[in-house]
Formats: sequence, structure tokens, C-alpha cells
Amino acid sequence: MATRAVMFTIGKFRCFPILKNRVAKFTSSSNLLNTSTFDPGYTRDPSEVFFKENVQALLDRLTGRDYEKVFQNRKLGQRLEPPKYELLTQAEVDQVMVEMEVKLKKKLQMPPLLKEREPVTKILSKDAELQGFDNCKYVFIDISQGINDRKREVVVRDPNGVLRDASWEERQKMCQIYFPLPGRQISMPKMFEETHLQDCLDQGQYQFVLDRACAQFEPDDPDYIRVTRKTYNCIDENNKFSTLRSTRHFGPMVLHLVLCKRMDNLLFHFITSKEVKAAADLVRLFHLVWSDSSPSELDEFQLIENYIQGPAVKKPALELAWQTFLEIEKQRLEALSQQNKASN
Amino acid sequence: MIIMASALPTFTKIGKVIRLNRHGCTNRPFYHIVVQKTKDNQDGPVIEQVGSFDAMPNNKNEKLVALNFERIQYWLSQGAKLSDPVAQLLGLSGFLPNHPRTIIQAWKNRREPPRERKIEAIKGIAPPLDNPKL
Repeated sequence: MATRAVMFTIGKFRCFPILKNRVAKFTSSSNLLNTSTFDPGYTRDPSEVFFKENVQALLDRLTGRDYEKVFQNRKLGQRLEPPKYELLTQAEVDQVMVEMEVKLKKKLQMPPLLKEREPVTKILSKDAELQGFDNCKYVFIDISQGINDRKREVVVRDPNGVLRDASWEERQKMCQIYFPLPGRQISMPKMFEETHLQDCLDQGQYQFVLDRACAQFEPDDPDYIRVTRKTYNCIDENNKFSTLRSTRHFGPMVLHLVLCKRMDNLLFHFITSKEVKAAADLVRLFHLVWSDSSPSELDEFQLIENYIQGPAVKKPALELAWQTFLEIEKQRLEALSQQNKASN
Repeated sequence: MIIMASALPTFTKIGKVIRLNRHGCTNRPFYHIVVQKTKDNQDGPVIEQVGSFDAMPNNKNEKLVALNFERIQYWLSQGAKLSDPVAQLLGLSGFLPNHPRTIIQAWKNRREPPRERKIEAIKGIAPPLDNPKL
């Protein structure tokens, strides 16, 4: 980072002394949300929804743009460098901001939500005369340059003489041996097995698990889908949405929750942290995904109220939170108007 | 009729061949599939490496073969010959038809399984060693 100027401030409302007792009420009402159980997943193909432009735009807005968090120095085993301070003119600062925006977009590129890949069944040739030529199978990979790993030819000749396309696991192993990608291991790391994964999530290492899953697996790998869904559900149960905010994983998590119809915890989180725009975006996303149409109300407050009255699953907690928020808003506006009168 | 010298095809007696070069170490062979001039030694100058073949099966009982089909096609078009093991590997991979040697070997293996060497203990002197190769 060239300069350390404060870029944006997420509109944080200043807490007035009268409102401190209200904050206590928020924390007690959050217990209402952690009791019921939801169905584990969904059968719909998420890629139909994920790649739509309006969905992408909404997810992008929801992710947020905390530059400090995105460009944070993370301890990932690479050499850390001390920050550079430079003296620049306003025009140069604007130029740097444009470059940073490009870098930010790259860092916040969302890994896609796809459905599980179909197993490979293609048989190229059945040569019965070759049965028993050897007692192990031969795995052939085409190491010609300039081919995408997903299109690379990997074939297996079994001891019974059958020549077939390699399965997805064999293919990924071979591609990683001969064309290694950084951060990826040849066999699945033990971390992604159920018990160890649960340990990692209990420690709160959500971003680490998701980043490593992104590096290790392809997005349509059944293991990737299992790991990411488990992580998203864990975050939802523990209400730790702020850990993923301004990371590349927030968008896919939100879409997963919307598709599972368990976005109410997230909506509660937005209302209690007073992010009305984000809450409204979430409701818009819900309508886009489930009815494929944008709702007619333009007013954000109305939009959120209609959702809470209508399709919301955890109505009591959300209504309570919403009413409390409206009261605080009213008091804040009154205090502001009194301040304006006093200053005039 | 006047024939110009440049119109005659020039033959070189030393052709190019695609064959296996043994690397690895003792009791652990690993072959590079290379394009070489016929007269050169196995450890001599190599024109290009076009693949590798690991003769030892891994823990999933697989033998890994990497083949640069694009370059192999090129060298075949330039008149390179194939050694028998390389031709067998290409046949197994589906690039070429099955080599007769593979078919004969498969038939022999089915007719009788490869003989196991049994090492008897020498009475009073030494027990049998665990290494089946000796």
C-alpha cells in the first residue's frame, strides 16, 4: 500500500449515552435464533443463480469493501515486508486508488457455487486380448504444453485390458504431480476429514479453511462442496458473519444461505449492526433467487418489513430486532433534529 | 536428364529414435522417454525429453506414464523410430494400436502365472533371506 489514508468509513452510527441500555436488549434477544434446526441442503443447481449479473452485483455489494481487511498482511508462510510510505499529489493518489481497485477485484473474486460433478464413465476401448499383461494399472497423462488442466487427456489402462478416461480423483492427482499448483497437495489434506475439520471450525478458523479448500479442490468437487457447506452452516449457527465480511467467501456463503432458506440469522445480524442497505440487498437477493423477479417496493424499510411479515422463518426474533431498530432510528433522528435546532 | 544434387533426398545413416533412458538408482528404475540419435549412449546427449515412465507401481498400484503426444507426433513425422518398450507404452495408451509384444506377454501370463522363486534354507549354514531377488 502506498498511502495509509482512510479510504471509506462504513456508516457507523455514533452511540448516544441514552441508547446503551438498548444494546443489552439486542444481545439477549439473539438467543432466540439458535434453537431451531433447518434442512441440511438444497437440490437446486446453484450455478443457474450464481452467474446471473444482478445476483453477482448484489453479492458484490453485500461483501463490502474494507480495504484494511482485504490488504491485511496475513501469516501464510510468505515473507512479510514492512509498509512503504510515500508522499504523493492528489492526482497520484487517485491513480494508485484505481490500481488498488483492480487488485481488490482480483482478491475479492468469488469462488463459484456449482453442483457436484458427475463421475467419469467414458470407456475408450475394451481389449480383452490384453488381459493380464501386467498386474497394475497404467495411468497416462498428456504433458503437451498449453492445455487447460480440465481438458488435459488422462487415461487409464486397467489390468483387464479396458482403456478408460481417468476418474476425477486420478485426473487431479496426475495434473498436480506433473503441473503442480501452489498451495495444493497431491492427496487430500487430513484437515478436511470430518473430525479434524470440526476441530478447525470449533477454533473459529473459517477463513483459513475456506481459503485452503479453494486452493486444494476444484469448485465442483464433492469434497469442496462438503467442506464449504459445513463451514457456512457453522458460521450461520455461531453468528460469526463478520469474520467473512470483505473476503471472497462472503458472497458464496450468502447465496448458499439464501438457497437453503436460512438467511434469517444474517438478516438479524445486519439489522442489529444497523446496516439497512445490506439488509435490503439481502431481501432483494432472496426475491431474485426464489421468485426470479425484483420486488416492486423501492423503499428499503418497507422491503425489509414485508420480508419479516411474509417469508421469514424466524419471525419473533426478527420482529423484535426490527422494532428496536426503528425506535433507535426515531430517537436518533429526534436527537439530530434537536442538535440542528440548537446550532441554528 | 539433369538431376540437381539438392533435388535428391539426403539420407543420414544415423536416425533418431524415441526410447527409454534409465534414470533413478539401484533397484529403483525410472525411465525418461527421450528422442536421441541411434548411435548415442543411453547417458549421452539427448535431443528432447518427451515423457517419463515410472516402472515401480505406487501405493495405489499404478504405474505413471507421462507422454508429450504433440512432440512425439512431430518427431514421428520427422522420421524418428520407436523402440519396442516405447511402442508398447504408446499402444497401451491408445495412441498407437496394441503392440504384438504386449498381446504375447498377456497371453503368456494367462497361460501360466510368472514363476515364483522359492529360496530353500541351506541346512546348518544360513536361513533364507527375505530379499526375493537373490
